[in-house]
Amino acid sequence: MKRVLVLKGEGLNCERETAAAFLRFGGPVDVLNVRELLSRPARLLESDILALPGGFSYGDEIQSGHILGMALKEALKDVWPMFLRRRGLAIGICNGFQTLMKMGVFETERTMALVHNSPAGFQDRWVEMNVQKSKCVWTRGMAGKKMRLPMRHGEGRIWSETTTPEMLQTQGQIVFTYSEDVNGSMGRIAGITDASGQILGLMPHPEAALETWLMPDSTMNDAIQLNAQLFQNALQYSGEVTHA
Amino acid sequence: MKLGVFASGDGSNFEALALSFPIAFLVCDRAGAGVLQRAERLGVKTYLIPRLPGEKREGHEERIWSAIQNENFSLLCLAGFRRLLSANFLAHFPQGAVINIHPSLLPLHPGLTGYEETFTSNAAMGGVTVHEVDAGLDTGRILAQATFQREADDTLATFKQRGLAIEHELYPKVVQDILSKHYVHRLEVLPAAKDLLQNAQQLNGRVLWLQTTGPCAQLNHIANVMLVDPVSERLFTAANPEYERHLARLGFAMPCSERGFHSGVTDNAGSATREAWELHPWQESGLTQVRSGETWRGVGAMPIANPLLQWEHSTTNAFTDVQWRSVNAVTVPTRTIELPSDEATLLKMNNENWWALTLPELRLVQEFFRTRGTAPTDVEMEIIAQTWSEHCKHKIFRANIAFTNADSGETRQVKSLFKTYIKGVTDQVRSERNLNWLISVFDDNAGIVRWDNQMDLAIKVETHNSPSALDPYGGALTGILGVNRDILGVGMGARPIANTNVFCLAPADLDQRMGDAWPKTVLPPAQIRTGVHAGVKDGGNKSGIPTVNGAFHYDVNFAGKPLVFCGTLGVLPQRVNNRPSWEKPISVRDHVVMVGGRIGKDGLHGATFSSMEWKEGTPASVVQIGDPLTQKRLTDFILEARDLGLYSGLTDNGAGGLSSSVGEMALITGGADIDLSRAPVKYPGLSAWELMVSESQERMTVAVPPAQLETFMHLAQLRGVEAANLGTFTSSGELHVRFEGVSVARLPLNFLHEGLPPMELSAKWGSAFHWQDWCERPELQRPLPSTPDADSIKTALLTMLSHANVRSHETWVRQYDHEVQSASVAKPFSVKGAPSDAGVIAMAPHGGEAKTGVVVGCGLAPQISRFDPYVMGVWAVDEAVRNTVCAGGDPERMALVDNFCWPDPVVSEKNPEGDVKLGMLVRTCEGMADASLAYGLPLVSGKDSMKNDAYVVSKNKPVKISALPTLLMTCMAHHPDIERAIPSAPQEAGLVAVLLSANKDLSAVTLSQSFHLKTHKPSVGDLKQLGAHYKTIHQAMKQHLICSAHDIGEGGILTAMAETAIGNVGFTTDVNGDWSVLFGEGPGQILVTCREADVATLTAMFPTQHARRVGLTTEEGGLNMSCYDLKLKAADLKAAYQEAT
Repeated sequence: MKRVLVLKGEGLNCERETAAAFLRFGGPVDVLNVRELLSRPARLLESDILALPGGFSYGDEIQSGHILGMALKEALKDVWPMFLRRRGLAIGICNGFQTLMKMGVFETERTMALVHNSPAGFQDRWVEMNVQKSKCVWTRGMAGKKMRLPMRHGEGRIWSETTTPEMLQTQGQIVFTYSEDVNGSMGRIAGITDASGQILGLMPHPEAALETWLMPDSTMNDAIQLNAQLFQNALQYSGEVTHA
Repeated sequence: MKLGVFASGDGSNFEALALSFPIAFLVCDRAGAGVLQRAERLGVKTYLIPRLPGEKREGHEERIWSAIQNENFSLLCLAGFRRLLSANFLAHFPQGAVINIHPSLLPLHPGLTGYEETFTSNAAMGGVTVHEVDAGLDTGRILAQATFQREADDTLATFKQRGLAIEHELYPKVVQDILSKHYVHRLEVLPAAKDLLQNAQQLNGRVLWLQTTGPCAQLNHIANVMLVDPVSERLFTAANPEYERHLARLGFAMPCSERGFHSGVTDNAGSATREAWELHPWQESGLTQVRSGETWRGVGAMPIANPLLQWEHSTTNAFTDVQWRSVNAVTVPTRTIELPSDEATLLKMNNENWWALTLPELRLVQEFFRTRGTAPTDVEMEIIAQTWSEHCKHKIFRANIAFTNADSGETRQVKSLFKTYIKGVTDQVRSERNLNWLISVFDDNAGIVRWDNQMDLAIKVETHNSPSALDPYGGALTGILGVNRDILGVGMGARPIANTNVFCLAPADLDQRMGDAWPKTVLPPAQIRTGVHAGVKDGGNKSGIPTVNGAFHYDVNFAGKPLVFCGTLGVLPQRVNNRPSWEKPISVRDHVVMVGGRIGKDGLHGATFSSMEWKEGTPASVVQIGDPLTQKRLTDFILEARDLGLYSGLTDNGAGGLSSSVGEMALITGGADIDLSRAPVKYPGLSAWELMVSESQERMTVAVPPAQLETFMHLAQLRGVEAANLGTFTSSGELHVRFEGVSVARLPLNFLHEGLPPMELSAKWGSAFHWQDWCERPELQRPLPSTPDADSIKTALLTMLSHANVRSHETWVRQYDHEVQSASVAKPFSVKGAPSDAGVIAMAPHGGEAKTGVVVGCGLAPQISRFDPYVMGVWAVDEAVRNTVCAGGDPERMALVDNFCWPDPVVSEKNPEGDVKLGMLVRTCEGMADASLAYGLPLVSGKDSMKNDAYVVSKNKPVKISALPTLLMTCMAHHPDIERAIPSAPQEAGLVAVLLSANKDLSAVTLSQSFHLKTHKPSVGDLKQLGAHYKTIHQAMKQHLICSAHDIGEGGILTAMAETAIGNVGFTTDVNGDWSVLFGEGPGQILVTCREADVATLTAMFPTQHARRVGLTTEEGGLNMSCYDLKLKAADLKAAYQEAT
């Protein structure tokens, strides 16, 4: 089984439920304060999966995920390539996605950003998310299906002046799209992966939709199995090279 | 701090600098120049970048820039660099970050031959100049000059030689001076592209002011990496052509409105920016202070600034018009205060110092110090004033009240409302029901009840009305963060798991409707609503605590002081450190450690201020903005320290600051001794009394045993939490405070906490008294036929659905994260928008028993205090219970929290009707107590806020705006099976709608606010029967007889049906009767749905008439009233219900 590292502290706040989600599918989980990882970056290499949970890291000041992203980018610059070469997986949910975006892990040179929703404002509402065919190892066997889960963000609109959804699609990097336009995101994109398929970033919260009693409507219960598969896929990932 | 140097020649100035300062690099543009050898000898990194044949200046400069752009240097010094730098190149650096030394007395003899020209001009003196570099030829601002005499026998060579000696002396001196000077840089960050604007007509930019020591040559570099998003933002540090071009691209020009915080005001973006900057590897870049602000351009109003917190100006060029003022506070030494015996002078002193004490209290204080034999210090007076404030001591709830019933003429004595109607009720219920789950009630920061055999639950609801009247955002934010800390500080520390909030506000357009008559000093209601909502939103969301339940309530009388109720639930393990978690086992010699935020002048006199009415001139220092990040770090740290057993007790630094927290904790050991000089401050200049009573936020006081101190302090440091050891707990019997080596306060704890005798007050109430609204109520008084028909019912129902106190406010509520922590079983709205009645939190994710949950609901009925405050008390309890029962709460395992917000109930010259308001309070307490006793429910926590009045001026006349007397009841109950939690709206067609009502005497209160209608006086029904009613409903739920349940509240049964018929399933109903049947309000009514097969079983559980079939659920949404041939579509109902405000 893969060893999971969930970050906490510095304004993050979904570490408990994110850890619980991995734990329920058997993953041994360590929850570590961000400051400890910053002071000992090699700690990353003791894990197979890095999970950046939701929250308001550094109060979301400057932009959501900015300061944590900058801090991790600098601290992990040496260990990150090693982590990926060892087939490490990473997931960023909501603020975690914003952080990964700021770290620049999805592109060789950043052209995309997660900006203020259009229309503006934080929204907590349940959305339907389509799993796209992509190179992402987290969603293997899930393409074509629909997840139901809450979005809870104010800065989740994927925006770029140069990169288009079509370009991302061609590269197999679009993992999730919303069924409806909920935040103005280009191509209704809700989640993307990097060139290796090992890193997943998404705005809605799969860890918050794993129990029947958390679903707002009994008609959504079928989606729980699919939401669960995301975590199971990661924990069972054997590390073989992937193709789109 | 390092220098970058550009040189072309021999490099003697380079060497002079290198001998005094670390040099980051040298750029030389001439192969073979002498400076190269010097650099090699001194071991300075060198870039030799000669201009290539035919190369343009731009190209050459571009190559220089690429070489040095990642170098860390604070100041760029030209030392005999024989090229003119272009404006483009200089734009890489902040103004003043590039300097040059020139061999003449500028402006004489600029150019390459300064000495030669001076020499040949036959001037009596030679000179050298150090100047800032601009794109002109030696035209930049002159920083320093030095001269030397020309000797008669001077040759050019000797002349030059003496000049050079002067240069080598002057240049390092000026550099030293520059590096130790403060510079303020203005950074403006704009969206990268037009389609990033939320509104193409308006441009909002971020502004940062950075104060650095030294000119910070690489400011742009660091800012671009750390402070700006390279994709979606653009950074500008000067009003250069690129700035103008970018503005034009976005469709705007240079002039803007700009605003920032006054110095000393909490600035979260500023502090986070500082943290971001410090993450950059160049630690020595010299940043000293950061402030944040905004620019606005374009049409349409920008959000209104609050002059108490922010300055604002319009400018054509904000870069040349930089606003910067440092906090300039002077420590006033502790002084001794002679309390005058003359009454008038004493009261004047009381007012001037914001002590808010009464004359008898002042006399008592005077007597105490007379007996002691020494006059009080200002610190002592402030400690007494804070400890004895209404806010901290609840003097009105502890007063002896002579209450006269004006109807019967009978007078009776109430010995403490608190003991009689709150603690008394709990004690009675506890003994009657033999309750063993009330663990800690009315003793600590919050009530604690035992929930299962694993966890205890803590609950607290606070109000933050006065601060919200002055700064709605900061007031509400600090309200929610404050009540979170109450939970964190209860027992050995509970973890917050849910927030609630209730706003009582003036109608959003009241100021517009009143026009000239609106008092100028009162913030517009719409601004208050936006502010308090944003405060609660940020407070919950940024802390990761779900906001699960709440309400918006409107009445004109909330214009002066809005009521902002903030509640929090928390969990704590039953044992901590192998002891009961509700106790604080603090011992003598444990350290008094302050953790979290620093102390500033913000939040001075919060406790005494909230105990006074607001008048113009109220000091702005009472206003404070919260800092959710600091608090989140503090919370994470405290809970970690708790589980490691690192402390023996803790409490919040809320109202009264250290004076209250240390004063209260000292009661456990019998004393404390602290030194205020050890407290971390936001800025220098705080006096001892300010340090003692400041309510600066995000602080807790923790008792740390000596053996744990080192570990505790170390963990705090690791987690980025500031902790300061202020002193120790003692058994001396006194609170002893020192500052800068002297004793500044020494007060016996028994005088502080027991020295205050109860107030003696009189109160009266009778049915003849009428509440006086301060202005006309703007509700539409439209006609209604005396007998309802299809048309009038439709009009009435759509009006009720869109009534401000009924409508959904969904767009506001969805901005709260209601399900972080992944335990929120009930969402505030169904997917289709039907409202839930209460929050439901699963306990398993919080360490509680599987399948169980906690339900939290609320009830309030301020509008009923116009009719009868006793009825208001009952209705508030009943609504809270009703909502909670609808959501599955068990009435046998239910607890209540009371929050009273009252207009001043003490008679004075300006408040002649104080005794009536106190009479209303007595009556409300009676109603609340009767209902609680009848339902068998204990009260476990409560709070009161007693001076919700604003004295203002309307059309040149003084006006008093008194808040409508308001009791908020919050109800918390056990949910036995969250896996079978039922929704408020029916989920399928063919179910039977059943009205469960134990009350016949209904009153169409809300309908009568909108239409001409005579309605019955609100009544309370049979309380015993109501209590039994709820227990039966819960039994029916446990037997799975009920498929959905919805509270019938404001707007009565039709409104309740309509609210839950806006989805895919609707109702057809045969409800008919007069207006008070269709829209009647009163305790004890719940609308449920039930399977046809279960109807008989369900109705048989209730007395006849208490369970009545009223219709069926239908395949399609909407409401079909069969008796009136009236069909209302789901979409129309929804549109009315979701009407925006």
